[in-house]
Amino acid sequence: MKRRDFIKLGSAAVATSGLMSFGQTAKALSIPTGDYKALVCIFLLGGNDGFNMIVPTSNFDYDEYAASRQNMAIAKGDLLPVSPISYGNSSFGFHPQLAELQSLFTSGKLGVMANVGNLVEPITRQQYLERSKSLPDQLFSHNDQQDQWRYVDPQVQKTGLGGRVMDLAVPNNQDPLLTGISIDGRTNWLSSQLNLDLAIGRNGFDQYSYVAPDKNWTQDRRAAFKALLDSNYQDPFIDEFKGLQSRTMELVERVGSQIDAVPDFTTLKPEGSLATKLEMVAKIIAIRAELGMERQIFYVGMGGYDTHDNHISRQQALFTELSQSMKYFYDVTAELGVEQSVTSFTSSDFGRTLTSNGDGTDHAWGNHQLIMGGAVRGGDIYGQIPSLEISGPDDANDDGRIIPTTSVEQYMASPLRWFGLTDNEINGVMPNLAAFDPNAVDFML
Amino acid sequence: MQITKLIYRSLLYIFFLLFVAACSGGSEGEDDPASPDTGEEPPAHVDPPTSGKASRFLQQTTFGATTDSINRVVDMGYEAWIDWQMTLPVTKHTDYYNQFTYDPESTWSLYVDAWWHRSLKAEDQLRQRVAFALSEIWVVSQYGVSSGGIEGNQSLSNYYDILLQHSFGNYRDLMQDVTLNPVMGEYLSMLRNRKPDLERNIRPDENYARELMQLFTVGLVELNLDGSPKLDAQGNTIPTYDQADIEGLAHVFTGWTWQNAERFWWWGESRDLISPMRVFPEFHADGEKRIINGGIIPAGQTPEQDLAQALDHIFNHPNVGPFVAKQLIQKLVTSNPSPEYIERVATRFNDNGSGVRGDMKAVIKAILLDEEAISGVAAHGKPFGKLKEPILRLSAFWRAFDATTGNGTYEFRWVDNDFAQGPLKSPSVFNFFSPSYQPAGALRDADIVAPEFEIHTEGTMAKMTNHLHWRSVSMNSFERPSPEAKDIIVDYSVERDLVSASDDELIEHLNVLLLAGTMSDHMKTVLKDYLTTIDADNPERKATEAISLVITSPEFAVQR
Repeated sequence: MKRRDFIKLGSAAVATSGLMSFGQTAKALSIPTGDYKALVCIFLLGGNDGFNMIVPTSNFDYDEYAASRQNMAIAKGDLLPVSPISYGNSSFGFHPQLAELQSLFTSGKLGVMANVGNLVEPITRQQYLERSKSLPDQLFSHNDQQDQWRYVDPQVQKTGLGGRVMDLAVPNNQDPLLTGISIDGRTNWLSSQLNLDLAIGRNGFDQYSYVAPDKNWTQDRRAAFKALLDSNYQDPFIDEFKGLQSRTMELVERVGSQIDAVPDFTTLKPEGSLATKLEMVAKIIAIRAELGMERQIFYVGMGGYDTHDNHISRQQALFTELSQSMKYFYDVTAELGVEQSVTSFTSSDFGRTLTSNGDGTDHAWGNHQLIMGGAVRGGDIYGQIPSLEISGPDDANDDGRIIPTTSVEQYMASPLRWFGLTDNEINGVMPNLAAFDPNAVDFML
Repeated sequence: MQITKLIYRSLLYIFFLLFVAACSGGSEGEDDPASPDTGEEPPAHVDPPTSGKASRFLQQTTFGATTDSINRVVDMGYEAWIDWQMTLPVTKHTDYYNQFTYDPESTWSLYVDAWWHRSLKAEDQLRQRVAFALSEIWVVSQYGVSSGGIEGNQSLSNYYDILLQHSFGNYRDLMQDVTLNPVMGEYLSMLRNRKPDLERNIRPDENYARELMQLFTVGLVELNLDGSPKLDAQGNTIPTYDQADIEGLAHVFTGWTWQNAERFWWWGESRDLISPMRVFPEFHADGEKRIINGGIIPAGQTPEQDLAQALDHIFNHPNVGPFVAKQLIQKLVTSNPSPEYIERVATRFNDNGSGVRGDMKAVIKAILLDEEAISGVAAHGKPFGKLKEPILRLSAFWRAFDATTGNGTYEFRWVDNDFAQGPLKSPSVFNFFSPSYQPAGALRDADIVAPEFEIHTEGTMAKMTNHLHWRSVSMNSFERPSPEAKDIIVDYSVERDLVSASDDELIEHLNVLLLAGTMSDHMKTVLKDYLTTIDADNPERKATEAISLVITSPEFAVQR
């Protein structure tokens, strides 16, 4: 029996006691015990325009940026200045709607991962034009590039990076089923061959009110409803539905009320669904001790980044929400006293073209990302800031699709090491890391 | 014996044809759940369906079986029923706005009222169901367009009418009309897409060019006729197009904007969201374009010529048949069709038998009358059937128990809050679920896709179940004898009368109506035991409880 089947059977206690008999256990226990750590993936769906998120402001660099971006460029005077530690005299500015992120950066709680993207192996413009190196499948296609960001395994593309890390983290937790949790929608980032991931709503669990466990008038109906979940139907679709309904009902009744009981945070919640999703992550973190959790992995998505139209105004709205929501989440983790134990990072399908269609931008490749948390060596930019010249040394062709100078594997290695994975385990969950320098990026304390 | 059997079958077939010709609608058929399996079967589509089989067929072809529609299929047989459906006029969603009054102050998602009304009540159910499938392939979403006000709602209904019109038309015409529709124009930003201006680093927008090929017509990799990917000598899939092809096609789709635009950069208030877009040739890229599969669109043509040639070229790509066939099969019949099934349908797409490519009537008939669809057994040994889409479970419930309202409208606009989907409400052009989604666990281990499971999560299951419980337990005529005009109320009086006679009769009735005669013995026992806990002098409650249990059951969630 696989552990997943075991978990399906029911209570967490049974599942936990059963874990010792599984082969994975010995390997997985290498994650240290006795503390709590959580990784939070914030996925900016549609392809965020990272090159307008943080902009070089030194004279030559800004001019190059402005020449490429034309009417998609942010005016130099509007950018919010920051001084990355490693960049000496070069200056940079955050997009004007990112004031909260600017302050986190300045206080050392936020770092920038420059020009990262899906790669199979390092590749230069020359090699791209000659097609002399392997390329990711279906570059510039939304779902394929999202998937590759989530799989982080260009050869196999079957399970997600979060799922494989979840497999290693499960033995640290009394309740394996709560190890990998997506808010609002299933994600293949958390998909695993061994363990089940959860996708729960941004407002937590809904009680099954018409078959509730604690009301006299529902007891006979509840018994019949549950009896239908207690049969082997010999049909894979019916049995899958039955298992999902059973699992959900069990979770709702066991964990739902605990989440509901978490007191409201005093940090003021900003507008928008991203903050609500992150609030739910924080509520689950808040009951980590009651649930017996030591390692958790969360995924939240924020849509709207596919700015083919009205790029400038849409970007303002998106960045306002992103900045306020991320700061809110950091403040809530501080309120819970876990800001050192929670590391958040952004991902996105791809960056956007430096050229425009007049009113918006198109699908590109390399992109800047953000890392946030008390354990992040913030206030700095990691990796390489690329040339933003059209047809320049980092442009794949002549549209300003910038070739990544850091792979997703290299970006992820640092937080995974912090999470407690050994170098062997990191190589195991990201087999293609071997194609790159595994120690090129280290942004964790 | 063999010869006798053959003659008998031929006679049966002749009678059947005569009967179909003479048939004038639903008679009172008997509920006859299972056909006795007596070895060798005649060709499936001439086998007169039982009530259970008819009910099953209606799960694939409508928004839910009713007793009348079951009788009709039993009377007519599958093919004649399809032929009859294909003769029916389109019940347009745009006509809804003239038939019903609505509060002009409360128009958010008003188009969904039209959708529910048509999906529940329209006689042309097959067309409505096919259009719904197409709306999840040719995705636009109210969340990505100007959907406000009456005009915005009507523009979404008009988009749906285009899908309805071409559901029994030709796929090439569908490509044309959707491409020039201003709702799609806004959604995938072809509207006001302009020719390049290299001085200002402006290139044509690639959005529509990319998704038209990736999602609506050919897909990402070259396919065999049976839907399987072609492989090169190294065993790798072969991309259908490259970035340069997308850029070429993006140049084709330049120069178009609202029909009533006074000039290309016109921002007038009363934009025409209904009529096909018009073109401003001076904003069209008039150079030569290279497109998919080596296609060349010559320089110096009109924008209309460019567009027609490019769409013709894409339409004639060999991928379109298997690509469209597989997706429609998955949405109507089964998640894991065999390659042979896909090939048979794709073959009809390529040639309807009279040399016409893209004939949707032929494609739909090929899908629904295929031996695999009728037999429920897949040639490649994978499980047949699919998880029903959540809103199709609700629609099936409402249709089965004749949901009515005091004012004739069906106002349930926040569908996606509880059901994780809604008509024209997708979060992105990639629809609510991917055709290749595999849930972790037994299904993925067996390499079985189950697309609809992508929106069935620990976060949505209770919402869906609660909603169905509420609708069935609380919103029926026994519980609400004097409802508000807007309340959607179901009628269980038939079921009350049946259960007054015997529990078994009710169970068998629900078995045929809701489960196509496939109810497991386990479920029958659970239902029977549950009904015995309810007072015999409360048949209303018995009917209510039995129905609510069935529509929230795992078996009702799946069509087989």
